[in-house]
Amino acid sequence: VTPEDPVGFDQLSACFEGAVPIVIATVSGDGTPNVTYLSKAHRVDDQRVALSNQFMSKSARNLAEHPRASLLFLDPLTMDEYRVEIAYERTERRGRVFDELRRDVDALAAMTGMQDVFRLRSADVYRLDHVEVVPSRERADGRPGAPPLVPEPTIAPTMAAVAELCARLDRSGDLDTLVRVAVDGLAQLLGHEHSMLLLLDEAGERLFTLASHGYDHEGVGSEVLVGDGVVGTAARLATPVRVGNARQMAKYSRSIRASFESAGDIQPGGEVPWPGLAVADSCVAVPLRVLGNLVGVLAVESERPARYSAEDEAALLVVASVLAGAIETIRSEERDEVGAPSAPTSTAPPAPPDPDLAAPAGPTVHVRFFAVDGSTFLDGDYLIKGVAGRILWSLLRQHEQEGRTDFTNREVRLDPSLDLPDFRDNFESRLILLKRRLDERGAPLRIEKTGRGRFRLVVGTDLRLEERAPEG
Amino acid sequence: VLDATVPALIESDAGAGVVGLLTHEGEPWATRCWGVRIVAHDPLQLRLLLPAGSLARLGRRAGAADRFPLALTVADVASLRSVQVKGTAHSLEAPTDDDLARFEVHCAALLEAINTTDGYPPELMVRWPPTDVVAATLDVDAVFDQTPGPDAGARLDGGAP
Repeated sequence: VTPEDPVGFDQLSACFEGAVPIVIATVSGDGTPNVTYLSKAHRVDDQRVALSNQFMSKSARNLAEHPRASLLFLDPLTMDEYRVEIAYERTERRGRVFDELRRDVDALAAMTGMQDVFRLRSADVYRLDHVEVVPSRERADGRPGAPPLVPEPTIAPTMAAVAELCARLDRSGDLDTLVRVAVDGLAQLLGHEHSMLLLLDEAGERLFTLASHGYDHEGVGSEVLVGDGVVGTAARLATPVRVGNARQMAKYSRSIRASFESAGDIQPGGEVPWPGLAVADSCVAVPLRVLGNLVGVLAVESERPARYSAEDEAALLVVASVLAGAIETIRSEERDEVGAPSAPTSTAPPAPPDPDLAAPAGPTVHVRFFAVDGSTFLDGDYLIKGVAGRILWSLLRQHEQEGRTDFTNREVRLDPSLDLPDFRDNFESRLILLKRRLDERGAPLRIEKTGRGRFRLVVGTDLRLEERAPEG
Repeated sequence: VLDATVPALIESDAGAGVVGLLTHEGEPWATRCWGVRIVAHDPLQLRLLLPAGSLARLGRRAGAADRFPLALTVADVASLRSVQVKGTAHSLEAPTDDDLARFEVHCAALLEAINTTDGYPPELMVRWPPTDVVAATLDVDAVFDQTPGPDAGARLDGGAP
């Protein structure tokens, strides 16, 4: 590219992810310029941008007096710069552009715990007048620059890849297979090496991790509050959240927070910890919804800035839609089985000998269960809590008292000690959570599926069970 | 009377400088600047380095006798603490050896600071600074706090808001 080449907004796509703050120059009515940084600009269409900066009061006054501005974008992948001349066109306080901008602002607010500070009041829309490219290392007249920089390639989300992943999900026969196929397929087919799938809990207040891919620890059972961070914000707003500048957002919010704290306007508070990668710079979180109801969140993340495009977000939405439908179908079948005539448990297939766990071996494991919240520890190490912890405790007691190893979902879910809600319980997903958590921990206990609605508890060592009742 | 931290930020090696100036047609125009130095404290006068290629395409070249309004914001890349100065730019000229030495020092330090805080690799960032610069002098009329937040725009030099 040269400064004379025609440039459109398509070439600036990485610049709109906010990885590098944008420079905005304006001029007052008396001809005095002003220059400051914008955290992000929002592309409206091929000819328009919308600005939402919360604190550019002088720029706003200048634009009221002289409705033209000069923006300077830096491409974080190539270091090419783009000087964009714009002219004010209109202000929107509702509609698509306003909603899209508000989504960005709400995400920033939620991620930084400053919902009272960041609040979009209007979206100012500007018309593109001219774009001038300032190629990296070619800024001097007539000087040859460095060879063009080729950005690190990424896998574009083709329709064929999305279709293949959806087909794999459709072929998954149970929840355990479904979630594994989902996160593995995101890596194999769409190039998302770091992903996580979280489901909404029974109270609708937390999301718990059911599966992940690409992390040192799978993090099964880890929780995020609805409303916290990118994942929690996607759940609270029931809308996709795409971030390409997590580190910039953190710096920006720290600066804003420090200013407000010094003014005594809000109380000091911690930042919401980023899930997954320690240095993730990009993330997309999309809600799993069925008929308007939130089921969970699917999230991918990367250490690269501006890693994800609108196409990546759209592809994930398609996958999330299929995934949510499949999860809800599995749950519906589960609920239907509860209402069906009872089948004798004796019809469960006999347990085949397990080569690894046929005979208990190894030291006795101390299982400690706290009834107050279902938290369960193996030899003092935390395993799981909540409904999944109560399920495990119910199974272990029956195993100890009656020697049982084979169970049906139906009978276990009717155990009142599980404290399941009457409506829309998460039994199947909690059971899979328990299974995956035991596998992740390499525990001397396993849960194996033995048929539709049936499973087996495999105990590979002697156990000593201890229940801690609530005090008082 | 400026707080001592303000001149320190203006000249900081970890400070990223951006400039807004007027075109001959009276329109705002954004660019970056490098290697800012304080030439005099009272009244405040700065020397700054601007991308020669971009400025030439704007019709402003070394040796030109024009004077034009210019705003400069310097932001610390780690904390985003920022200060904006406004005044009149003049004396566009080819950079001296001292200017070029200051330019090299500033580029190296700034790129290292960005690598530390934002993670951008040096081999990528090295493409960012311009290959040629032109020096300008700025006679400062006003100094403002530009740190993001509710105090952005406050005068730091005791002048009227």
